[in-house]
Amino acid sequence: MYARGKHVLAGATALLVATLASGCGNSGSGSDASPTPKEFLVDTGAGGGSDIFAREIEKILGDNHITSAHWPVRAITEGDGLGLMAYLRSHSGKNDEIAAFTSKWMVEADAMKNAPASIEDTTPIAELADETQLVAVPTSLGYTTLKQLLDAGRTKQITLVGGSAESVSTLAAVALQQYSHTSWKYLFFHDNGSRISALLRGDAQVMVDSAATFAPEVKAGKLRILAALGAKRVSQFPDAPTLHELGIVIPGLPDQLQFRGIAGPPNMPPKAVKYYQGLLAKMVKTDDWKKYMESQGDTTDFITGDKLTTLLKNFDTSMAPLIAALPEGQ
Amino acid sequence: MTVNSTVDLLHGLSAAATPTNLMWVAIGVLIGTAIGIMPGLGSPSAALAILLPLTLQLNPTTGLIFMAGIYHGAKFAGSTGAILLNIPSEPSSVVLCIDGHELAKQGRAGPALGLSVISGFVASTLGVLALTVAAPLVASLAIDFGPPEFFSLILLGLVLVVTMSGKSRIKGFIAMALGLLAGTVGVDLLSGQQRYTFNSLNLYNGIQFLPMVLGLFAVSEVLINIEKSTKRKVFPVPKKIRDLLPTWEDLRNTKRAIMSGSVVGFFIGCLPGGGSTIASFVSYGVAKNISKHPEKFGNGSLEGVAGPEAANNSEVGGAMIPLLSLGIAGSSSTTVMLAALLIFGVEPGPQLFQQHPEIAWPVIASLYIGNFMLLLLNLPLIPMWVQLLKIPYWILYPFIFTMAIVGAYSERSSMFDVEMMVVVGLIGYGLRKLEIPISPLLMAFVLGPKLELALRQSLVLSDGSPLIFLQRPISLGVLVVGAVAALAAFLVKRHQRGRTHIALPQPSA
Repeated sequence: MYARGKHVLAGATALLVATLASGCGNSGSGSDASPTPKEFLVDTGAGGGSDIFAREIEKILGDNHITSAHWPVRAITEGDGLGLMAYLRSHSGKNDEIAAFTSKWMVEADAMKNAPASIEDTTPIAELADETQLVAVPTSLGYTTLKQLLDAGRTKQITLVGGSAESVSTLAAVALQQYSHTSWKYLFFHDNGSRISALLRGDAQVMVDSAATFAPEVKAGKLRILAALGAKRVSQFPDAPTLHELGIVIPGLPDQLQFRGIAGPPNMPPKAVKYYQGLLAKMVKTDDWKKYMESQGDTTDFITGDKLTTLLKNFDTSMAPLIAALPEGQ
Repeated sequence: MTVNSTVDLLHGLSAAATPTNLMWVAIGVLIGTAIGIMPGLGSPSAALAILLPLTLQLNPTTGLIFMAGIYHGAKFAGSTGAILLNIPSEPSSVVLCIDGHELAKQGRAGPALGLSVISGFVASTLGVLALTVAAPLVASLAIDFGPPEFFSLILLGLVLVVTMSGKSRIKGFIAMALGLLAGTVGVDLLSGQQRYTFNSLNLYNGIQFLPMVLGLFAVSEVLINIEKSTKRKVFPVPKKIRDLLPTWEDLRNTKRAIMSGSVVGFFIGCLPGGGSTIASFVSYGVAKNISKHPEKFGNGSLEGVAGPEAANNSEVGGAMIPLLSLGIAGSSSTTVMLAALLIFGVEPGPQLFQQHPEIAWPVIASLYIGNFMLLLLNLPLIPMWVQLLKIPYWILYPFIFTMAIVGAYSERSSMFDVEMMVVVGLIGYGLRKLEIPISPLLMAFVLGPKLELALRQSLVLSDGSPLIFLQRPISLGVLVVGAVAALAAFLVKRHQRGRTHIALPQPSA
């Protein structure tokens, strides 16, 4: 009987804890008053792009005394961007949770049949940064212009290394292939380190990604940037021309391929949206923010309201044909 | 070691050895150890991520030194749960469950823990020395390791899984097949297609490692033991202090395993995408193959603890090479460190040693200092840790179950992961009742997706030709080493069986 009692005690303890644990993650309610963000949500683990972005924002806001509130960063990585959008949708009307979004969220939703969530399930608050995508090749290959690379693709097999089939960089590469009437092979790795290694090793000849990814190897002379896929040159690599400057016009390819911003749950109270926009508007004017943008090779692009809605809609429309042309669709 | 790098290292040591930095290394080691012991929370990357906000409040040099302490502490502590409770806290600790926990059952938990500390210390020291001396050479070797090379290396690891299947090879294959199947769940990287996700976002990224390991090891362990009497002590625990630590003979007998594990761990650790998981699996196989008593592996061999633990810890030095020299994070832990470097405004890469030597060399020096701190902290604590085995089941197992729930939930803030853990735990319980080993299942679950990805990447490179694995010199070399090792193991086993037959007493006439 004593032993049975211990079994019961053990089982009851476990059940109690399980019940308590099931309460974890429940958010509190917000109000229309100036909110204090309970959590700053990201769809990547610690060290991922959105995680670093969110932590930098939190640091800059604090260091510049724009807000005294602490915005703890929390990762909701289940389902990547789709998962975080679905999470935000389930917290409709709340004002104390914000998330760092990227344009990749929209591509993920468009690339998936019957996607469980989309950007329309959020309240976009502001776009903050344009992460111009760059075309990089190993210097050992000898290409000094994008035209040389595209022409080479007509006579030999070019291999692109990237992150996944529906990443923004892959879609940009699809656009370049369509323009040059060539067909590249795709080599995908989970992490940036393996991708850069593949480029340096010679397993791949081209990669499309952001300035921060390529900076160490370009400075060491191992990689060369051939072009910037945006409206303006990137400050870190001022010698890399844009597609427009090269006379390459790809209809439908947006100037902003990879951008980052802040979004909230759907039906976020307008006062709360204005509040966050106010904080972020001050933030992008600080020297710390400008320094951060420069270090990443990104451009500040503070867009809110109807202009933001239009930007997101146009991006969606532009990406649709490229998603349809992906190597193996879903 | 060149004169310049010696001088730089000494400067780095003097910068790292300030009272403030020493304090933060010690705190990092303590916190890393405390977190590393927790089932479910114990991976170094989780520990680093949890403490990232605190790290970023420090100045860059101190912050990175703090991170190095956490990394070391968590690495060392991961072995404790595996050996004492049969619950690994991260993939690289899985191998320790095989022989480490067997040793605990035999009343030798103390020597197993002590040996893991000492082998880890030796291996870490060698790894950091190698980092200091050979970083540029090893960095270029790391770049040459591509998909075909990874495929061959992982295949070697999977072959070793089969050798760990215990008495029944068929049951080992069943376990491996289940693990491979579980590893296919999720969105395929190359095609973007969903596999066995049943359109659920929860399975979009596949079944996570933590629910799998906590289910198979922690939950099933609790269920298995619920059937037994709760009055008995968990395992026999020696009373004398000297029985709680490894003897000089234990150290002599394991020196080959420690050296081989150090080399394997360092080289695999420096490969982007390599990591301590593959290092520990491969080093277990290597230790078994070069051991004078391979028959003891799986039944409580100290070499089966020393080898993988050495690999697990020398990987620390190896993983720093792509991070500091190339700016490439090769594992989840170094990804967090890279994030910290970037937020500090330090750009790792080929220019780091030239532009920021005041950061690079103290970080390397702090790895030396962290090593000593770990030895000072962990060795005397072993007798205390072993006392955990005296805790009655009816207290210990609810605690384990609670920590498992917290651990499963903590990674993605997902109740689905907790539910998955319970389901896997029930499956694990069933497998154990059928005497199907669960370690091969978990190893196949971890290695299978990597193997498949490496295979498909290689076939992309070769336009579908499998000859690529023989045409790339490093890949060919690894395959040859694997084949030789497998053949040697087979011949040794046959030779031993022959000797056993000769030794059997003849029936009297």
